[in-house]
Amino acid sequence: MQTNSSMKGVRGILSVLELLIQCVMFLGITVPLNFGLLAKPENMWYSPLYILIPVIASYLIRKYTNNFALFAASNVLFIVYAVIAAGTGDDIFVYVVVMIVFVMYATNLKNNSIKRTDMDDMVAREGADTEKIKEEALKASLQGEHTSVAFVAIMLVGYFVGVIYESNAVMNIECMLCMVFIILQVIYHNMQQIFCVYSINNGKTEFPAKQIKTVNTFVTVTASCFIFISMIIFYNGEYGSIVSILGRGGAALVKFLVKCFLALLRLFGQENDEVQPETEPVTETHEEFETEIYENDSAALLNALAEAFGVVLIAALIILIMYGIKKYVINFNKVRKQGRDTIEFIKPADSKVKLDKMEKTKKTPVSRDVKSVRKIYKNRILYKTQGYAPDLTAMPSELTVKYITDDDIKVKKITGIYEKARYSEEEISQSDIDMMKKLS
Amino acid sequence: MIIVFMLIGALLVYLIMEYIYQKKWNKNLTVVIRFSKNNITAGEEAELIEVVTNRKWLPLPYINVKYQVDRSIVFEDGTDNFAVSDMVYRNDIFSLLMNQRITRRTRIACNRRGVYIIDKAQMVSTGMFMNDVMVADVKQSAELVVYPERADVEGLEVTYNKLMGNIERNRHLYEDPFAFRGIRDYVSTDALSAVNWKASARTGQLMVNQYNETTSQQVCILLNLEPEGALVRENLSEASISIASGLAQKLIESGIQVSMISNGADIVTREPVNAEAASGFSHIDTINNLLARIDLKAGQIDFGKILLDMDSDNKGVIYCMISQNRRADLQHKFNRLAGTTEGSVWIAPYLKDEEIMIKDANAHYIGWEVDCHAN
Repeated sequence: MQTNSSMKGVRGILSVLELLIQCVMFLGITVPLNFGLLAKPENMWYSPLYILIPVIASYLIRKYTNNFALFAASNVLFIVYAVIAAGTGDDIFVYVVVMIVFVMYATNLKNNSIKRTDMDDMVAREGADTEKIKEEALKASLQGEHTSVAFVAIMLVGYFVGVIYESNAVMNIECMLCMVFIILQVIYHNMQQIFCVYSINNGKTEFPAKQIKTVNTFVTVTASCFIFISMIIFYNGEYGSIVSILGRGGAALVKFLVKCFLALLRLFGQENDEVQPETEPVTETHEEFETEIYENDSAALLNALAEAFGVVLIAALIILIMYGIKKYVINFNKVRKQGRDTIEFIKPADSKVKLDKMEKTKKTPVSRDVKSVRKIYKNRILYKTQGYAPDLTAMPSELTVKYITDDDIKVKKITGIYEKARYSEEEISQSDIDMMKKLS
Repeated sequence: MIIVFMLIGALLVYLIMEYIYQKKWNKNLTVVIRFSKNNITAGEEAELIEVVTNRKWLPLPYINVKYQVDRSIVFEDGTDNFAVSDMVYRNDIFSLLMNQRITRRTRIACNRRGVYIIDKAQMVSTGMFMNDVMVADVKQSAELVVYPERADVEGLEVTYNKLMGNIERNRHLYEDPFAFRGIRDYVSTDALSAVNWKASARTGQLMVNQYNETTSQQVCILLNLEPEGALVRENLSEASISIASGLAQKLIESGIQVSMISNGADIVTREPVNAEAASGFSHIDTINNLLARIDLKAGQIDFGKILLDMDSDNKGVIYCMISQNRRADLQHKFNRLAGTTEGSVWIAPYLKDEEIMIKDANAHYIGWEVDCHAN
């Protein structure tokens, strides 16, 4: 079921994720060094981004060429590039050290890549019967460019650099990078597992690749959303916590809508003069005043960018969730065929349980006359048995003979009335009740 | 410290999600494996149906459904999808969203008679992040009865005609004077007592009454699965079963009551499989079912004893013994039994180039050559 094409797709996504994770990780190094250690002004927001060029270039060289000489030469070039990017003499040392760290990291990845190629060659040489080697080759290929989640420590250290140098921008950016890093790691981990499943089941005719992709995408997105929300709850940046940011965002939206409404009134009507004074005080808040001050301050640009990034992410997530719900609703009750599989949505279990419970508790209403007849009959029997329960296996006719009367005609009549009251849905007449009352 | 709290928050959510999956992954998750038909004849096709239902608000990214079936069952999807050794070990992969059901149908064929049971399956999940391995066993009750293949039609015709000839002759002998069937022209072989004088007077020529037989004619198939010597020849035993099946079907289709006595043991109860005399199409299924359930590996009791215990005064029953074993005492006992009813038959399956030595006495003996490479 299209396993090969799905594998290609997943491999592509993994490559992009690997690159993104490496970019985030090295930004996590350069941001605190630039705005903390080197104390660059915050309007030079672009200065830490210099690392992205070597990260992307090195990744492409490692991934798509086997030429080691080219890789070595690129590493030398990167160091030269670091010297050029540093500009002034003070920064050169830090830039070069960062680049040397990057080169070492890239070399380590390259070594892993070489090992992986060797393993693939061994599998090709020794054939498919060496399952263990095949499994190890698969493991090695999965480990290839994987960046461990432990590297989140870089953002953690970067954040504390921001604390030491009292740089809000560094702290905010490190928080954002940390969030992105964790989410990318979650997505990468799941995609890696899917790739592993695809590789193991490659060649199977009935492998449901499409369904696995659909379900895992859903699970990954949901898990990422939850993790993101769990992280953002603790976030408390320049503009307060996420709750206050959302609150202010909501207020701004309401304000915007009111303004639009007033503009419309002004366009068509005469009453705008009356409305205008009422809306004026709304615009004058303390937060807005603060915002206006920051607008002119280029130092706040980075903070604003970080906050904006967070808000955009939340908006994207909300849209994604809504899209997911819409798709779920559209596909509900649809029966799809996928190869030999028939896939259908079913009703949730809970509703069935509730229905069963309702059916159990539902009682047929019993009329007063029926109750009266049953009660008279019961009391008459209990009177004779002196309060003891009669033989519960006995039929009403037997009980009537034993405890009420032995007259055949009366027995028939009394038993008939009781059975009508006890087991049928027929109505009890007044004469029936009178007949029963005569007993007592 | 915000970043530390953020990381703790992420870790907590991750752990909670994993914990929920570990605890709830198999809640309201059902796997039902069944066959599309309850019974097929050897060589026919059916479908194996797997229904996996996830009736909860928790998607399952990866579920393996593992079970094993007899290797005689051939799956249409080739050998890439499962491992074959002593059994076929299936490992089917499913992936389900919340409140979703997947039904997978796989075509199967079975060339060997028998009862194929899938009594348990295993569900293996890898958790939300595919890190864990969680296993749960599920009881199943899938059963496929594969009836024996019908024996060679030409060979059956000979036996069938022989048996039917005897049945027709016996019918004439045991007419019931109370079961009037009709009137026909007198022929010289008719007894004068059979003449219907009133009808003869009306028509101006001699007419005789026709009556139905006293009892329905009955054929008892005696199926002996004991091998001829120490060497067990499974293909001869399978051929015997096929002959029994084919013959029973042909006789029942002709309205003859068929019973069966065998020393083949049932696969579950280990008791010899026997069928009471009956007719009707459902009886074909009954006999085929019993034949399918015979386990040749379970061993057989001495068929001579069974013959000895049988009621020799059972008039009107024609015996048809199918036995590859032709030892002298068995021949003797069968002759004693067949002596009570004329027209009994012994079908003796044998391998090509094998010498067949049976002393003809009260029964007809029919040799049934079986290909060495059959089965």
